[in-house]
Parts: sequence; C-alpha cells; structure tokens
Amino acid sequence: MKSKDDVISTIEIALELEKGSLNIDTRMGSIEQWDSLGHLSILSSLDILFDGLIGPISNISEAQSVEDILNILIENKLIDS
Amino acid sequence: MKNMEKIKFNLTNTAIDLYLFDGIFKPTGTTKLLVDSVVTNCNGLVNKKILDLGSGSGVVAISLNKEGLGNNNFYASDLNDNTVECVLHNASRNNCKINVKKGSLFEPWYQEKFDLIIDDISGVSSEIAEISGWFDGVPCASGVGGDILTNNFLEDSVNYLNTGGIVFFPVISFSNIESILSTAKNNFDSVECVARSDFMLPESLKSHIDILEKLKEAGYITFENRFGTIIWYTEIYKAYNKT
Repeated sequence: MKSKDDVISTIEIALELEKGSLNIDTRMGSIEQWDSLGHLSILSSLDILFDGLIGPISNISEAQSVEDILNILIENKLIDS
Repeated sequence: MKNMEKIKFNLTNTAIDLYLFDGIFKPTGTTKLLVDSVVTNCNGLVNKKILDLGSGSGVVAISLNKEGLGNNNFYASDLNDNTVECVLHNASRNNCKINVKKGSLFEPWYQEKFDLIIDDISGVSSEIAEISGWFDGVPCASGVGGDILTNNFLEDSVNYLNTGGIVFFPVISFSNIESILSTAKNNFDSVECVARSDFMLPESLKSHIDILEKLKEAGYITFENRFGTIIWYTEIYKAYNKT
C-alpha cells in the first residue's frame, strides 16, 4: 500500500516543487503552482500512482488541501490512516 | 478615455501587461497553449509575415514578439470596434510594431499572403459561450457545434498563405472536433496535433451540466467524467500544404 509520504511526494512532483515544499496543511491557492491547472495535474498524477483508482472518486476534485486529499484517499482505503 | 481592464499574461520566462478595451476578449488557457505551441514549433523564424487572426487585445502577436519571434512582421485583426485602438495601445506599451485592421476573418486582408497564420477566433459551441461567461459581450457566431468560424478559417486560410506557409489553430473539446478536423484534412496535406491541455470544468459551468450532457449526447461536444467533475481539453494543431 502507498503511504502519505508517497502521496505528498507525488503532489510535489505534479506541481514541479522541490521535495519538502508541502505539508499536510498546504492549501490550493496558497502556492502559485496550485491553481486549477495544477489541481488537475495533481489528480492525474495520483491516478497514475494508484493505477487508475482516482478517476472514479466522485469528490476528489473538491479537495482543497493536502489534508483533504489524504482524507479522501483514506476513506477510499487507498492509504492507511 | 476608454474603459479598460489591465491584466497580466504569463509567458514562459516573463509576463506582459495588457489592457482590455470594452468588448475585447480576455486571453484564456487556450491562448497560452497556442502561443507556447507556435514558439516551440517556429523557433528561428525571421523576416516572415505573421498574422494573428481573432487578435482580441493583440496578445498572441505581442507574446510571440517577446518570446523570440520579434524579427518578423506582425499583422492582426478582429471584428470588435475597439480592436485597432486596443492592439495599438498594447503594442506600443510592449514596444512592438503590429499592422492591425478591423474585420471578420480574412475580410481585412484581401490579396495579402502570410507565412504564418494563427487562429484565435471563437471555437466553442455558441450555447456554451452563452452560459460560460467567457465571452462577456464578445460576439460568438460559432454555431451550436462551435465549428462554423474555425471551418471558415480553415477553408479560406489556404488562399492567404505563401508557399510553405503554416497555420496554427486550436480545437476545443467543447466544439464539434470531427467536423473541424475533417475540414482541416480536406484543405491541408499535413494536419498535426502539437499540444494538448486538459481543464477542469469552471465554476461558471457547474450549474449547467445538463446542457453540456445534452450537447454531448447530440454529438456537438466531447468531454470525460473523471475525479467527480467534467474534464475537457484544448488541442493545438499545425497544418500546412507540401507544395
């Protein structure tokens, strides 16, 4: 199973940020790269990480922060809490 | 003094300030993708005639000037009454020289020929244009399939290209892609997709999903349902004739 660190690292790569740039409290819009295009890049990258299991999640586009994304992945049993 | 809105348009290495006069279209993600595609594919072009068709504020011509194509001759046109004044204002503020005219499609360019023509005219279904807020008073006579103006452009553009000339045009999935690509292939030997960007449904369209579904069902538009939202896209095409 993938870890929270794997997810955060994938988000950093999707947004072309240096490793360690994000933490659980980082919110969409708080950094320049995380706009609507960046958000779609995150979701597409996570979909690759989880072998296509992110696309069908109906509320993931509404996530507004790293914490929201992690919580949705936990709810969907894709990572451990 | 004209009413105008100041905006910043981000390029790869810098940003330009633009002023939008009344009724002038605000540049979008499609405009940015179009500029990036031309820059990538036309690196090193010198002393050529470049036409920015559907120029709005002059954003494409000015951006290309700033992104390494400044040693070419720029032309621009659009049908808005404020086009000429707006493009000249922005060109002057960005130290660019652009020959600008008012008129629809190729109407202002009778008997002119160009080496590069960049189409940034309305290319989404008129029903979506109406509900999206993207056009905000700017005319959009693209038809329910969003293909009328782009097809007219593709059919006419061959008459305005020098030998070896190239056109770049966007195809937006909120239009009849099949119709547009069929027209392109009927008029050009080579039609190649050079860039694509996916977008999430903007807030302004979230309350109109029923209309989008109806247009998709009727074959006028295309989109995917993913991540609990609608994902649509823009592709940039490069087309030319071999002789």
